[in-house]
Amino acid sequence: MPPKRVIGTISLAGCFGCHMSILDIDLKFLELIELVEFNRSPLTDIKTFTKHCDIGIIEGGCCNDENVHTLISFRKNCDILVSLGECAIMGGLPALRNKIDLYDCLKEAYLNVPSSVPGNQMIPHHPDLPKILDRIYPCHEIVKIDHFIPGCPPCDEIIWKSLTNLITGKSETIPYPFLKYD
Amino acid sequence: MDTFLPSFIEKLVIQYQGDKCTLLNMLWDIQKHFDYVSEEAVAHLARNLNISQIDLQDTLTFYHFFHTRPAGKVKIYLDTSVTAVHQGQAQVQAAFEKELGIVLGEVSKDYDIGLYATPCIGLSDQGPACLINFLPFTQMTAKRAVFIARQLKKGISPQKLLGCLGRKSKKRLRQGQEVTNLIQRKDFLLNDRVAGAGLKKAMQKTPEDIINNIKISGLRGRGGAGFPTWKKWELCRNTESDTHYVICNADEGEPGTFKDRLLLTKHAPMLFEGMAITGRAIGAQEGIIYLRAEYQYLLPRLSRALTIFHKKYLFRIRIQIGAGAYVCGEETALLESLEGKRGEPRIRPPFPVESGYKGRPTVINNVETFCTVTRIMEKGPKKFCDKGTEQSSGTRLFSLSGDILKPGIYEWPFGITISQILTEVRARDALALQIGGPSGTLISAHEKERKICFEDLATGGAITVFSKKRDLLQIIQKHMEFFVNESCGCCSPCRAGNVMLLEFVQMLKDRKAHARNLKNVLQWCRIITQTSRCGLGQTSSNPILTALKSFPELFHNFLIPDPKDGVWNFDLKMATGKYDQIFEKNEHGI
Ligand SMILES: Cc1cc2nc3c(=O)[nH]c(=O)nc-3n(C[C@H](O)[C@H](O)[C@H](O)COP(=O)(O)O)c2cc1C
Ligand code: SF4
Ligand code: FES
Repeated sequence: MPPKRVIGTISLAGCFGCHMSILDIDLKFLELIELVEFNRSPLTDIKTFTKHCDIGIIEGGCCNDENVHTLISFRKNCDILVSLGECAIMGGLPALRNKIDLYDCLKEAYLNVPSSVPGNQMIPHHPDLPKILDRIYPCHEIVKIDHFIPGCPPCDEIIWKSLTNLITGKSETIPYPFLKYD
Repeated sequence: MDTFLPSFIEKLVIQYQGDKCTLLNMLWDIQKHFDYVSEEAVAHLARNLNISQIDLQDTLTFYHFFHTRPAGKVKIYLDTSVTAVHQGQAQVQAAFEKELGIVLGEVSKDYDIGLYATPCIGLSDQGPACLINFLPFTQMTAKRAVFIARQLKKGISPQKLLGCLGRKSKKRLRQGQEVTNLIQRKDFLLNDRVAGAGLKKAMQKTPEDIINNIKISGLRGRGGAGFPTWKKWELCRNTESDTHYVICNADEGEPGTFKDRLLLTKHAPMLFEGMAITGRAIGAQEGIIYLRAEYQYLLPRLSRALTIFHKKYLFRIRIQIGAGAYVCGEETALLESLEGKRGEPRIRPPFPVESGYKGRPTVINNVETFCTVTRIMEKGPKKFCDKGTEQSSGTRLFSLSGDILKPGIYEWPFGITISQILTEVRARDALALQIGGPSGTLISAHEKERKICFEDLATGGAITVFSKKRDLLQIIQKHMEFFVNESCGCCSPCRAGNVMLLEFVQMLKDRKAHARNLKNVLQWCRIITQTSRCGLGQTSSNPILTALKSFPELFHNFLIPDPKDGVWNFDLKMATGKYDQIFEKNEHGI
């Protein structure tokens, strides 16, 4: 049996929807686990790479400096990087703020909300907190991305097909209905 | 004026019998009276036509020449296409701006004069040109701009300034002769003609015979796509309906093209005959000419010629003026516009030959196509197909402009080579040729043996020559700007994709583009080309794609190589700068 391929996954500025969609492959997970092992990933709770990976799967774009550092570390530790889902590819829902000035956006979220306590308002800011970027950046604007899997979230079928293609080196086409979202 | 507006609009709607298809005419009339179409005017018009204001605005705001804010009693539209830029448009613009105390796109409140940019107005062989209240002013210089601006400021009407070159200048263009129609070479189409002969011969033939004659001639459409004319006619003829229509596409919007202007100015009867012959062939009694707004100065002439034509013949023709939109040259967008709507192309099928104007079978042909039909009927198809190549028979008109000593209109047979062209037009230091406008092909002047014909280099008739002193990237940039401005917006790949292509060209010009950007842009080119509804999106990548073929070094010399490790040089400091700034004053960011 060939050695197992190593996979890392991460959710940056995403909603974890894409990771949930990975879980949607259900019983096929048993097949998958025969072919691969997971290293750094929310699925394993491994927080830093302990091995070089064959494949890195990225959910979400970059909204803060920590996202950028994480993404770069994925690039350095994986042979192939895959942008999974709309947020990673285009910025997705978070990118709705790209047209809004950062300060206006934070004011609206932290100062002007009805739940803010008068006299005790502040925009969170601490050396331990990541710094918010001026806008959301899709992953390929920061590092080289080798493959893009579209969808919001991509369905389990297309994730399964793409993954097995990547692992086995085959290139089975993905039927059009799986790629059409409107 | 305010009390006048409601009654004006009421009368207008009665005059046009409340026909929504004439919306463009109504909007023109309103703008001519009130200088722009105000919100109030929209409200009144919508009420009188019994449509929603938003539907009306939908059409109104689509067209470049309709203004929704005070736009000046006098409106100056400067041609800012790339050829005009090469001819010194910047100096003309600066002179106007200085003299009027405004910048392009603004209105001088003191004098009620507006200054606007517009793409090619069909005068590239005598530019830089501008339209002032839709009258053409050619061969502009900074001096002349100052002169004209001063006269306009004094309240002298643009009409009076036609032909005046300036106070000190002794030379004066012949009155009303701003536009010259330089014919450099005549052949089958432009050679001496017997008026009425083509139509007379056609009347003696059966419709089938007429179509068969055109089939033998091998005539293909002159508007750009080159569809066999006889086939279009036959398909239309075979569609059963109570009414059929003949429509002439006189939108001539492809930058660098001006040959239809010549035909409309000098040979209108030939065009009318061609439309009537088509009418006989397909069983239509009615024709419409869709004339681009930029050519409305031709309207009085055309109307006179039409009156004479109508006295002799039964075939009825009317002229509809557009309102500034390149995409309205696309045949189905043209139909939408004719029906008083936004010029958004329709989904095909059904094709216009099945369901066109008002849902009836319709033939749409280019001005030159109709004129050629008249000549083929007059002289017989054999004489026509003697010339040209296997798949592109006959001769056609070419609009030649750019860095050449002999600009103007040439009638050449298909198959003419680049080398022949460059010699005949007396090109100086030629570097490149744009064949068929921005949507066509950019080739190197070294590609001497290439031929103009549907088999090799297809063209709607425009050929622009660029000399070695021109910046090709600037040309590509201007062409991409054109598509960004002219996309109707209904296909996302065309609406948003062209913006990305333009950004890439700008990055390349600023020496900031990386190798990966080109790769990415090529992928977008493919998507835009393959998924756009109409010819605009399907060809808008051509400035980049064809330049990449003929001048690869233009791209590869300036691209910055990508970092090997796949980590792009992302400017994190810049990206977090805004955030840091928020807490500069105090840590709560308040
Ligand atoms: C964006 C766009 C603009 C066009 N502009 C013109 C035009 O200005 N004049 C024209 O005759 N055809 C134009 N065409 C081509 C027309 O759609 C149509 O093919 C032509 O009018 C048919 O006439 P023909 O068969 O005589 O060439 C344009 C096409 C596209 C896609
Ligand atoms: S391709 Fe562009 S111009 Fe043509 S219909 Fe689509 S959006 Fe409009
Ligand atoms: S988190 Fe997956 S698409 Fe948004």
